[in-house]
Amino acid sequence: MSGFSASALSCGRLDRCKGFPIDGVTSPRPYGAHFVNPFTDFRDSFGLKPMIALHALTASTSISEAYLPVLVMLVVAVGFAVVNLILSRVLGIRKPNDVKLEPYECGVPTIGSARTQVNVRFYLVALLFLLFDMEVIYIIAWALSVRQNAAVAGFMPFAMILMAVYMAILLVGLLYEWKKGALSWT
Amino acid sequence: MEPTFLYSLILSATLFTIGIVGVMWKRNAISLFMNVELMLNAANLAFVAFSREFGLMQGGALVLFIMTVAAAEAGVGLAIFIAIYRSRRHIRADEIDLLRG
Amino acid sequence: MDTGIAAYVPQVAWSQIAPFVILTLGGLLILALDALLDIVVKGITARRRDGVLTWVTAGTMVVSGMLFYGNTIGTSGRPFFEGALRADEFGNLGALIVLFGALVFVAMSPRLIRDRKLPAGEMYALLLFAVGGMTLLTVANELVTAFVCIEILSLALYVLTGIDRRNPRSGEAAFKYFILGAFASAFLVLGIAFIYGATGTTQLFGTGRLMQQMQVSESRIGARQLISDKQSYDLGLDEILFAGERPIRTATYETEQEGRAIVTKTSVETKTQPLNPIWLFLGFVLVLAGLCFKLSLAPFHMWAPDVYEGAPTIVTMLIATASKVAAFAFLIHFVEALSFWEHFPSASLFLLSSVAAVSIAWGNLGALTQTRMKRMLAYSSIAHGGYILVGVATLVSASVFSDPESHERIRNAILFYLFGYTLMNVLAFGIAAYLGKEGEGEIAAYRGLSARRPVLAGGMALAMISLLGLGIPGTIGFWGKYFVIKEAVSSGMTFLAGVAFIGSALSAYYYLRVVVAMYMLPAEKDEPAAGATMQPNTGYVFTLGLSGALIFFFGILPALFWALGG
Repeated sequence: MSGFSASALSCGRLDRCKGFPIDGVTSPRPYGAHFVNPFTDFRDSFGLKPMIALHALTASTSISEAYLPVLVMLVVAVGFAVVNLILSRVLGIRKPNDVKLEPYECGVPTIGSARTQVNVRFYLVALLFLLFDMEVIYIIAWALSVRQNAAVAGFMPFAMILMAVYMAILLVGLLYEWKKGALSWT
Repeated sequence: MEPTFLYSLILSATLFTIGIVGVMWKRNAISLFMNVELMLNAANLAFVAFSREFGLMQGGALVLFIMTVAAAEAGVGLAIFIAIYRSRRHIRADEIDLLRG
Repeated sequence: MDTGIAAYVPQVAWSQIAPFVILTLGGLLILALDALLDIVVKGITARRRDGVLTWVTAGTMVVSGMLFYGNTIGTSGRPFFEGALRADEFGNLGALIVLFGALVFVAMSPRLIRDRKLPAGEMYALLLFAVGGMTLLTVANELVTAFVCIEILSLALYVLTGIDRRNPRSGEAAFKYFILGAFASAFLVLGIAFIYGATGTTQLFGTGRLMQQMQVSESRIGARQLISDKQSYDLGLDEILFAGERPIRTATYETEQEGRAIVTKTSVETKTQPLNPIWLFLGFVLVLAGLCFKLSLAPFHMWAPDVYEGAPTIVTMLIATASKVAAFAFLIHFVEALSFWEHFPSASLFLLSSVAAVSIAWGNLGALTQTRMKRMLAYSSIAHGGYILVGVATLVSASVFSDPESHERIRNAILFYLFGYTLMNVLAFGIAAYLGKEGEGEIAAYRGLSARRPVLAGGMALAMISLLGLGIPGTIGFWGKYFVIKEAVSSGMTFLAGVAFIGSALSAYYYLRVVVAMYMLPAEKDEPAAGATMQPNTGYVFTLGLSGALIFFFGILPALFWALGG
């Protein structure tokens, strides 16, 4: 292999793939023959053989052929719904009365309006969740990189310090949140 | 060779335009903000499309940063909306008009 | 096992990124102190805690500023930190101006915190994060880095705008600022995506070595050609645009079935491909639109008056000065990198000039009819953005190739303008905030101020005359405008220079109206005397005095400013 480590990728189909090189960051390939791209190649990094088999099945078809079943499925699904709605409208006999027009709520008489407000505290919880949730995308990228480069000299200490700093920043945020009472429901 | 790249760009442009139109037309602050998020993600799609078309990996990684920024923006935005809601009991953008001149 | 390439662990230039790291760590420290100070020190009073936070914030910024100044002297102008940052003199001095504005904010904030009972910890932490974003933006050399910086500073400023929660105007200003700012950042991202798509890189400037080689080879064979075996993401925009072509890697894969395994054989080759000018131009236009929002330039300025009026006055000061300086520094670096594209001047000059002209016209005409001080200053700041953009347009017309000397001069003129603009706005907003409710409201409340508060009236008059600029020499504003207009004229941008000149002549009406109100009109009887309830604050008075003194000092000796840069 010359120059750089070319990556064998699965971005749908092998023969249509362009190289996704990682500039300069290379691994001595501890996990088999292929260079593993942490962003795209989950198949190899988790060693999922069945996925490869599936891949082999679709490898000879073009993109539009591969998505054709999806299109057919969509058309059938939408068509089924539309045809049924039209049929019931055309064939059905309608005699509305008050009870029939009420919204159906599991057979229980309806209470109040359907448009009630969600408590504003839920928004706060959702907000905090959102922020701490997004952090995970970096952790995943980091973890895959560590897994791939574990054998490279000098990489592990660097990566670990990096993650420690990251976690420390998050910790300060959490601490602040906690002390300011954002985590308590009342 | 199928024009997947072109399709992705067209999709991205369409989503971005929908976002712009939504921001112009919608009145509820949350809807406004959802449209802004749509625009950001349309831009992300363009990023990924370009990076895939030209065999570069960078674009995929840069999208992560943009996503995080979008999430932080959502956090700040929702906090501002809640603050507005607490004082006014509504968040209709066209009725928030103390500042005029 | 293939270990042909050495292990790659990024080298971190600690001395170069230390100022930013210190700002960020300072912000985190403020958060931690705010949360834990009353546990660590039993029975600490709120006032004392706020004092500690103020001093920690100010100390952080002073240390960071000293490191910046150290980096400014003898800066190499080379990219560092994996090419994400590049500290040239302009960027570093811009960062120092930003830090100056932020320090003024710290000096002025204790009074605001006391009067309106604001959370000091949040304010200072947000301020430090915002300043971290701004200073990084001034040296950003990578489009996505710049985007993240813009977002960091914007998010912090949205919250600072709405931090006065008891005041519905503050929340409303934050709301408007947020919605329009988020809208603008979407444009920015799409623009960056298009530039990335056109060139394959998001880095503005490369190391410069390749550029020299290409220039040498161009002079030898008479044609531009990319001579590099690197991939596009290793190169800077300047190099790719100069060559007019980008490296592109094509890989062909052959899959074979050997027994039950699929074996992939890869062959890769690197070719060059000409740039797509449409994507590039589209990217430039979108990024410019996004930046215009942040800079409150003409077609995208509508948020500015409302936000300036609704935000607490010292936050308005921060938005008007520090964030604009940072965004302008980035705009200039961006435009400089793009001007390596040979079609760039013809593609962009019309756009830049029209944004500048419309900003000047709109800002000045809008300010004429304003009766409230902060709205007037908002429109004035739109107009000043236009004047600075005149400088940027001139910078594009005199590119690094065609005229390196005047390029350098124009950059210096813009930097001087930004410095002067910061000082004048610090003084004007600072005095308005000092006067309290009356000073922040109607201009009519300034009537007779010279009798009640002669020193403050003098300071405000100085700020107004300096903002007016042309006509009255002896202030920094005069020299700023003079340098920019002179460079515009000597580069042949006479139309823009004329617009700038007429604009500043128009501005005499609204700036001098304030002066006339203070010195010639009697106070209205039913109004309470402005600033009657004010409590003196040493830092506040000191920064106001310092800004006034600097406006005078550089107004008389403008040449001394360049000595600062070493």
